Amino acid sequence: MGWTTALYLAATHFLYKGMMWLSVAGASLRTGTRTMYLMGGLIKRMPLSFVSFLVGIIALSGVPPLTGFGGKWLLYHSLIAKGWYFEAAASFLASGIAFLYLYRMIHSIFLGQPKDEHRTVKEAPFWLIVPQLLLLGAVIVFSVFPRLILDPIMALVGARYPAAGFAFEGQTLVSSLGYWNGLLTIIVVVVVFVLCLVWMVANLRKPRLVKQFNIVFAAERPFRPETTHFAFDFFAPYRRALGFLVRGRSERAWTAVAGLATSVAGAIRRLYSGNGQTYALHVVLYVGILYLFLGVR
Amino acid sequence: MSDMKFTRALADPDHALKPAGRPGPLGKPLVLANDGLPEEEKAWFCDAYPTASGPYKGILENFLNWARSKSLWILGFGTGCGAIELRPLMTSRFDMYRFGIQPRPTPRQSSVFVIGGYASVKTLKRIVRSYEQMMGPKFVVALGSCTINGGMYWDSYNTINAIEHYIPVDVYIAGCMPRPEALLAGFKELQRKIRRGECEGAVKYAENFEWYKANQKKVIHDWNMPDYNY
Amino acid sequence: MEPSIPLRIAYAFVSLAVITVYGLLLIGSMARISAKVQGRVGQPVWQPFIDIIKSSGKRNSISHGIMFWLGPVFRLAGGVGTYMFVPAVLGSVVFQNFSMSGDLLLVMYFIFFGQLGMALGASEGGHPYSAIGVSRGLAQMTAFEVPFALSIISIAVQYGTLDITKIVMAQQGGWQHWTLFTNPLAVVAAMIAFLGMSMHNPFSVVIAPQEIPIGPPTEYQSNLLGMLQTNRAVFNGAKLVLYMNLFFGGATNVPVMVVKTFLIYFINIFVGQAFPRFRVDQSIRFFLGVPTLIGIAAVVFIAF
Repeated sequence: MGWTTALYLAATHFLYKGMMWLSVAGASLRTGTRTMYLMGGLIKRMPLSFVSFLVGIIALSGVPPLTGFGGKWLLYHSLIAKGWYFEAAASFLASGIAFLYLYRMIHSIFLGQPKDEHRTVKEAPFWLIVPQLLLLGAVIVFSVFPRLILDPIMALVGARYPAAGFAFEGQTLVSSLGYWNGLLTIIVVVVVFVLCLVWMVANLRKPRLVKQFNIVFAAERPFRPETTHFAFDFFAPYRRALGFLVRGRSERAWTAVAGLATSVAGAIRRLYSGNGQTYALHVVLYVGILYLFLGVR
Repeated sequence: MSDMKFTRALADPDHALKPAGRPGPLGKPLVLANDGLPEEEKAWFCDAYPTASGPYKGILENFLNWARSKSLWILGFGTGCGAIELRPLMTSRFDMYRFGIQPRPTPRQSSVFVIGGYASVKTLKRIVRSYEQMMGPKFVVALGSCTINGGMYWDSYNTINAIEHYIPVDVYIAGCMPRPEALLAGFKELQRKIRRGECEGAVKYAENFEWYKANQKKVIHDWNMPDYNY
Repeated sequence: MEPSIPLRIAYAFVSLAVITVYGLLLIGSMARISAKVQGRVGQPVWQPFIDIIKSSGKRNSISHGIMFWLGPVFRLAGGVGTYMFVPAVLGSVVFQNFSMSGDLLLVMYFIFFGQLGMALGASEGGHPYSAIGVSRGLAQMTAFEVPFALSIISIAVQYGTLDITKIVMAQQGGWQHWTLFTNPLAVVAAMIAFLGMSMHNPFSVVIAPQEIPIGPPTEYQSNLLGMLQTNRAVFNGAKLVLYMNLFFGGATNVPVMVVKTFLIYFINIFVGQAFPRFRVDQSIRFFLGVPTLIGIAAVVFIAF
């Protein structure tokens, strides 16, 4: 069961993380900065990037009906069946916190207050958008038909571990603890969503589209977008509550990782000495090692 | 008498609203000039001309008016002395909740604006901004004699004498300050007026927008907001 | 299953109508009970209906963009969807909803759907207070999910299944079989988490009017506000029905469901009237303290 979960999670994680990275890359390219609080309100100028990022968030936090939930379902069933209860609780906390930090990203970059200098940014380049849309389509297809991705995985795993815990009955995925019908879930969710949307549109009376500073600012007017966009110290309550666990430690840890990466890269760099004879030696050594590995025939 | 009032201030050219662009099909301009704002800030604010839709007809409007009168949400903005008379209404002795009245913190969600007494020029700017941010149909209740004719601040340099020249008022509650029982009587009168269909302040504001705006700009000199605060 | 698809959909609408009306009356009657506790008369029980009619009858509205409109749609879809995935009354075809779509995990994760949409809609409003409200609400939510998850795991191990219908059936046959009496630690942890979920005092800082102007719904008005108010009723109803099914023996007919959910919600009000508010960091530390320990004890007690 664990293998099925791991493979499924790896496959779907690739899909939506790839989408999100591409989307953020597009935003960063167009605005010319990597600092999140300098961006803001890009949803109106880059709607496609926003949509792919949004679907990425929904999938990553494991919200039904998208593919992330399938992964979480498999994970919990595997953990509980194996008896690892505290890991299951920890992973529940992890998926909640995942949504929390992704919300900070999407708010700082795409929602909130647009800045003056980003008023004319264009949508991300065509060749960044196309892969995002492809991955988006893949995520949606796999959400509607989870069997498309689960059948191959389960066949692969079943070949090595015949006593697999999951089985399919029609479209419903069944394990010893419960069941999940991916197709019916997404149908119900889509129907409910469309009905609510129809109700809202039918009741909408003379909506006026207003600009960014037409907000209730306690009877004042906001003065600059930079001071009105909430992006700094986003999780102050968490920092106050649990910050003592990571303060200093996480910074030292990441500095150590960065230092290690720099020194390893520096060591590897010395292979490129610029000397033609060293390169010739590299080629000879490579052929020699290959010869040794392949054996004498 | 009321027509005379609405034409008087337009003769003042310095404070007349300057519309921008050509007039639309109703003869009113489609956009506002927003000339209180520097040029680089105009992109941040909506500049559409305000419109207000009128009531439906017949039994639907009667039903909606009944619902509106039974669910009056007041804006929690204490503009003057009247605020202190509003607080006892929330307590157990006078209990306005049994009339469906609740205080709400934002103008977006409230339908009644209570002007609690004198309005200094500084407060008037915020009153105008909060009133324009409310969603129609909206009602104004003015407490105290300062709102009617200036009250004890009738000759002050910093307060205004008649609030109805700046925003449309539905019910006045006289007194200095009126007791909570008088406030409850005033709210019941407002409910009766709403059910009779007489409280169309939002429509009156939109139709006489130039007059109201000219009056407001005559007294409020630090106008760094758009002409209509959505 | 026996009923055909159109009949299922019709039954789902009936069930939804019942829970909406019940939820709105529940909010109204709880407000009235709180008022009586404070010694005053209070608003009439049907006041939430009038509020929704008034909000939907506003003559104009403001929009900040498409995501702003979609926020309440997501939220209401989340509330209705959560209800659709929970079987409300055991053995009743009308109230079975669409619970064959998934088990308990589906319901628990679908609760996030509404939060997500509301968070995005509130951010699109551009108001800094909406964003602060959302970050506080989400921070609190991640904190109370820990004791809730532990209690769910404890129940899953105890009954050997995550299927809600089976859990309810295992609790039939007299009140001694309720989870309340067979696994009280899990129920205690889950009820404390429920206080956090319903955002009553002491965890009401997210939508408290005196803290930040109402938090995430700061910019919402007219019929969008009406949708949010309706969602309060439906979502509350869905969570109460879920709790009733998991911990208090489920219901075999509608009056029993009404009584049980009323009493569960009453616990909330009972605690809420007596407490002031926690700050968000205090509530995070609270939830990760004693309730988590109770949840861990519940899991240990069942597993070993």
